[in-house]
Amino acid sequence: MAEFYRLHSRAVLTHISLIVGERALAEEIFQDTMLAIWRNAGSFRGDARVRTWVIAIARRQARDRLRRRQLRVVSDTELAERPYAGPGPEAVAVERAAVSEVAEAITRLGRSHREVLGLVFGADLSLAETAEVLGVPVGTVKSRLTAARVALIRLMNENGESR
Amino acid sequence: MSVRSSRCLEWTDILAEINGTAGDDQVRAHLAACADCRAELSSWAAIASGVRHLADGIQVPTGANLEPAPPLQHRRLQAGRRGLAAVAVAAAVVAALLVVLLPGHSRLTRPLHTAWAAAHMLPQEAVGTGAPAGGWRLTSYLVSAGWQQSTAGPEPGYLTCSSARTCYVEGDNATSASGPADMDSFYVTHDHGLSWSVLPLPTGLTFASALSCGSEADCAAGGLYRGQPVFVRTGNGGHSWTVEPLPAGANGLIFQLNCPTATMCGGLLTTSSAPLPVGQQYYAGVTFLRTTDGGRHFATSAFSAQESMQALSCPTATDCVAVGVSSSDVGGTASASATSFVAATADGGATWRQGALPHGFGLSTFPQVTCPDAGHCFVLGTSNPRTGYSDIAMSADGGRTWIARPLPAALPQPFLSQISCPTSSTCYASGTEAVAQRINGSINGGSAMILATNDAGAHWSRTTFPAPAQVPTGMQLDAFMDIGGIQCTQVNVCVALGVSDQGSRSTPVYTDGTTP
Repeated sequence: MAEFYRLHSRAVLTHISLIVGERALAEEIFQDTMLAIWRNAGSFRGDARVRTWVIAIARRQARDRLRRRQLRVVSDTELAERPYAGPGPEAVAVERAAVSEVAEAITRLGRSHREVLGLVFGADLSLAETAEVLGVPVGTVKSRLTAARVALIRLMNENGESR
Repeated sequence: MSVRSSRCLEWTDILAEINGTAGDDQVRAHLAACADCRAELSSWAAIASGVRHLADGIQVPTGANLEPAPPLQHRRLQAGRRGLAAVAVAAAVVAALLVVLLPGHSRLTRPLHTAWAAAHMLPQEAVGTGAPAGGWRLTSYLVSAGWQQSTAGPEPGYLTCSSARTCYVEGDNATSASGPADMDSFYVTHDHGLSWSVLPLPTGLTFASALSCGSEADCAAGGLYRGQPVFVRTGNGGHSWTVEPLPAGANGLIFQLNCPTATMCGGLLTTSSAPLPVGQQYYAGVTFLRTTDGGRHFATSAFSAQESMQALSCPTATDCVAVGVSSSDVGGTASASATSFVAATADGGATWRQGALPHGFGLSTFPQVTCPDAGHCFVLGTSNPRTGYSDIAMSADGGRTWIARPLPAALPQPFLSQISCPTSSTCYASGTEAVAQRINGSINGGSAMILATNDAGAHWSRTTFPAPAQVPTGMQLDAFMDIGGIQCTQVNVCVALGVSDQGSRSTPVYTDGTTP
């Protein structure tokens, strides 16, 4: 258990935090997730990486809780396909912004975008594993990542945070 | 048709570059020629750093107080009870997305992350290379021209090779040749020393230990960040860095670090908060420090009060061997006459067992021990405190007992700087011997030398390097007298650095074997 916790707790809590964007709620969902993991430990089939399985559970817990709280959940498609009217990505040099500024901007992205960035760069899942967790084709993961980058650049540009 | 992130790069290439696992020369060549692609990669690296910055702000329990996992068939029966325990632990979680340091906060209290940065290729000195000596040859020069900081020259610091192709150098830019060290530059080669690039470090960072790499791109070191002792790590071969403040329980400077895996490192921690001052040879108040999660958490354990350990080697996540001197000798400079100690642990530092070095064997000027596996270790030292000529001792039982492995009697006054052992029987040692050679009309007092053994030190062969007929402009003549660092990741696959005084603008790079 200690090793399991060491390996996955940070990724799980990060992922939940990125989904719900609210600290107290993230902690509650994290607790639910850990309980669900113990209750479902026997159901792990070993055909996926443990982290993929764990984060899939966390994701279900988060979605269930969001539904119960009747928070507005923007559809993945809506976010990914939302038209972008700002300047081109090249107009803003995200890479020259402070890491903390980029991080803060990520927290203000839509849930779908936060989630895909968190899975790929926070939980270090492969594109295939991310697709499995999200239940979408790998191609959708790629397009969603691209959309997340565009949205992030737009957000930073609108707020004058880019340098 | 595969989906690209843009017009430039495949997603697999982007992720490989960001995660430091890239090995595709075609991609590297494409990046070198495509400014848009580099910009896009940099933006993705910045986004990845942003996400990881958020993750590092999350506080979770270490799990140290949790019970071991039961066998799978028992989990369902115990799920209810353990589930409550898990909830209790989770309830203690203090989770928040605390992502920024307070503006103007002078002391680092949270990990500091730098954005991904590209390497800048350094110009190559074409003169003076060639003339193979056995499998060895003077391959290239590590030069300072084109470097990002104003410096009189790259006095070589620590050399670390994480693979047959990839090596790193912490450059020492001390203001005087006598120190103290100021290792605030960073070089990398990905072609076995043929060419070198420079990578930026966080402003205000200076290394306090040699870099140690648990994988090709996962490396860590002890350091000082604006004077504050820190643990610094990279997961992508130096393109970005994380600077971790040390916890209150590990107050002091990490001056030795050894990382057998990407997440586990053992180190030596001194109560001093600064590198050794000029004239002092040994660190005092030394304890063992260990992390198993890449520097996020540390545990410390003490050695015997009479021991002040100075060098460490950890061939596995649980096995480490440390060598040092008597605590009463700390502050002295006569290493050969100091009482030497060795201790080994097989439980990650929880307990240490004292070993016995050969009678009369003292540590070398810069103590060093290296263990290619948990059973075999080699240490540099001397059996002659009057002359200080180098000797080597070896252990085949994990550091418990040691035997001297004397060098050939005919070897003229050997002084060894470093030993590297890719296997339990093959080792290479670098240094100098007292054979004068003429360079540019002047006589140098010694020759660069490398010793090699294939039978665990029973016999040694020797390679010396003639100074090249032409040396780079501005190079100091003594650059070919000595070899300071050597790293061999495989048999006959080595990179070594010459030693040159501050003021030289180039440092000789020697290699063994062809580019892997």
